[in-house]
Amino acid sequence: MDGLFYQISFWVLAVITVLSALMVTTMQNLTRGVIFLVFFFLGIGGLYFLMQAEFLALVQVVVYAGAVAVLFAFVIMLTPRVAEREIKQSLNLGAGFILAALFLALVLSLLLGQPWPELAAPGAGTITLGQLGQALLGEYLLPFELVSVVLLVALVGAVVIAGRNAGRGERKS
Amino acid sequence: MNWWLFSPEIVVAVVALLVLLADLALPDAASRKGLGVLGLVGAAVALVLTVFFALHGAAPAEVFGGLLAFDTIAVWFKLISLATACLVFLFSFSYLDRWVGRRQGEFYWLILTALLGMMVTAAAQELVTIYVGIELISLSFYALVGYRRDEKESTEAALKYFLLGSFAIALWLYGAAIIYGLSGSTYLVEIAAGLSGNFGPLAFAGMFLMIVGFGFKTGLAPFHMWVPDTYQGAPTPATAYLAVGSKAAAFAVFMRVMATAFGSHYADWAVLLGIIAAVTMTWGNIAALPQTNIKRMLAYSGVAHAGYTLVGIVALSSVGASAVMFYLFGYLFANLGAFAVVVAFANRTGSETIGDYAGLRWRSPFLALGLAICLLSLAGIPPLAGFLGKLYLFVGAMQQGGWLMTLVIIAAINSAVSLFYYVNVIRTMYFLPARDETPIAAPAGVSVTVVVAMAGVLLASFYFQPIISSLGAGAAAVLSLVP
Repeated sequence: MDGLFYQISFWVLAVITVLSALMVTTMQNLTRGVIFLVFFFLGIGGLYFLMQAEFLALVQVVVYAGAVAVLFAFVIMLTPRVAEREIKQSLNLGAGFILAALFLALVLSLLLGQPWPELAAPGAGTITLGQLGQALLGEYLLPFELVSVVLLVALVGAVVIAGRNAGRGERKS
Repeated sequence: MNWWLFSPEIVVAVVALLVLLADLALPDAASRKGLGVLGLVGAAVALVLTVFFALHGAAPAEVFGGLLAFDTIAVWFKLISLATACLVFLFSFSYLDRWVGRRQGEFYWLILTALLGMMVTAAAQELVTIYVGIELISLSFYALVGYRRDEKESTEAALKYFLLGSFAIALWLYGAAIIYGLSGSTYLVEIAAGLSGNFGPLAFAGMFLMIVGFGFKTGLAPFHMWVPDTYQGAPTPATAYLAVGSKAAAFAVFMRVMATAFGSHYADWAVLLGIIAAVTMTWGNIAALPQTNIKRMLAYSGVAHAGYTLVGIVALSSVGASAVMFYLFGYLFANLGAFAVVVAFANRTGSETIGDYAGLRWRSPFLALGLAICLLSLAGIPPLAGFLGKLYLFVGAMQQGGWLMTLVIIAAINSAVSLFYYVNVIRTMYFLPARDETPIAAPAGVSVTVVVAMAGVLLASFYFQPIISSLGAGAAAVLSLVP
């Protein structure tokens, strides 16, 4: 697992992920931002592969890099005049940079100085789809079901905030 | 597992879905008020069930294989959330009447889903469940705060809350990931076991990031920057709900995490939280002094109250924990009563400026009395609930002695300062002449809320002994996990 190929792949993917995340946050053009978002999602998917979480990696690629990014691209294309608009990302780039650098330095110094305990990996490192399903519908049934409520809330909330003004219950009967 | 113990949550979830489906099925022109009544009935049924659990002292148990706790702290905070939701329903009827043409059904649905999130969060003892519960609360509130989306200030409030809230929960998640990596478990009890030998700087950083997340949700300085704008811009029932329900649930899980997962490292975080508590109450009180908008004033006063409440967690004793629980119980009535009066007043006059409350004593003696009693309770005047809550918080801290005495002194000075801006409102209502003599009629829902609030504030103090003693015993059982 610690072979040279593994090391190289990890670093390549890590650099791609971090750089594209940086580009997403600093791009002034939304369309370009979305393109870098795709690279970011793919980098994360690759990292999941390296961690032998194949299913998660596939979901990441199909759902995020595929569906979510395409949806973003469609929204940008269908919204008039938003694609060519330059969006200023931050008013305090300097202060933000200093804060982020300080936080990074602090966290890195802590992370590198810390011996991590070995976690007992179930099934010798690989988790089968069956185990994943059993965890979701067994041990973690409650959060799994609650997440569906969370998604429904997000859906309704988006309608409340952005839906057509002529809503239901408009006129008093 | 015993599904009976989970029945309040099931009732709330089912009623929430019914509200959403009925809203979809009703013809466009039909009034949505019935949906609000349905939501109120659902919350009331769940409240009755929870009160039944609280009175009959159901034995502590675990639900969903330990994801949720069923103990005194969980039941008590569920009770607070449910009572809050019921009262918020009551006075949102008259508020929403002002905004005919909005999506009322969705408003009721979001109140119920936020309630479900609070109930889960208050009982959760596993990191994934805590996260999902907090997100359920947060997402419901992002939409509730931005409900008046044609108003610039409501949209601004929602955007600020959303951006800062996402940032805070991201920091919380990062902290939770570090803690999971170090301890190898997401269950709070197992985290305590996993961290017992190796609580190094990184574990402290993870814990600190989680404190930041909780600090945002409870409105502790310096993570309270969203509070004044969001409270002012949100629809008043949503503000009241955010100020009490969301804060109580966040304090419940905050207390549980600090006591259960990090309790044996008390010495590492007590001073940090003590400093945060001192800064929070001082900042909140001083910022509340010059406010002219009553919602903004109540927002800063809410920040100060979060600071007082934190003193109970810093003390981390049976008295301290029961003081946190009792304090938030009294805070619930006092705050909701005050916000209900704000709703009634704004309904009639459209104003939220403190100066316009002049002469309210003549315009509506009932509302003026209600607001005065609620504000006095917030200020901590004996024998109201706020006073006893504060007293127990201070006693809890004094029992620990040492540097906590300093904290108690700071809190006492702050209480004196806070009296100034609370009494200023009462002086305006009772001693300044009214510019406009038209009487203000309180809508039925608001009247009921104010009566319940006054009763709660007064009775909690006269019948406090059994409440406090039952809380103390239960909290001690939960805290016995702490060596």
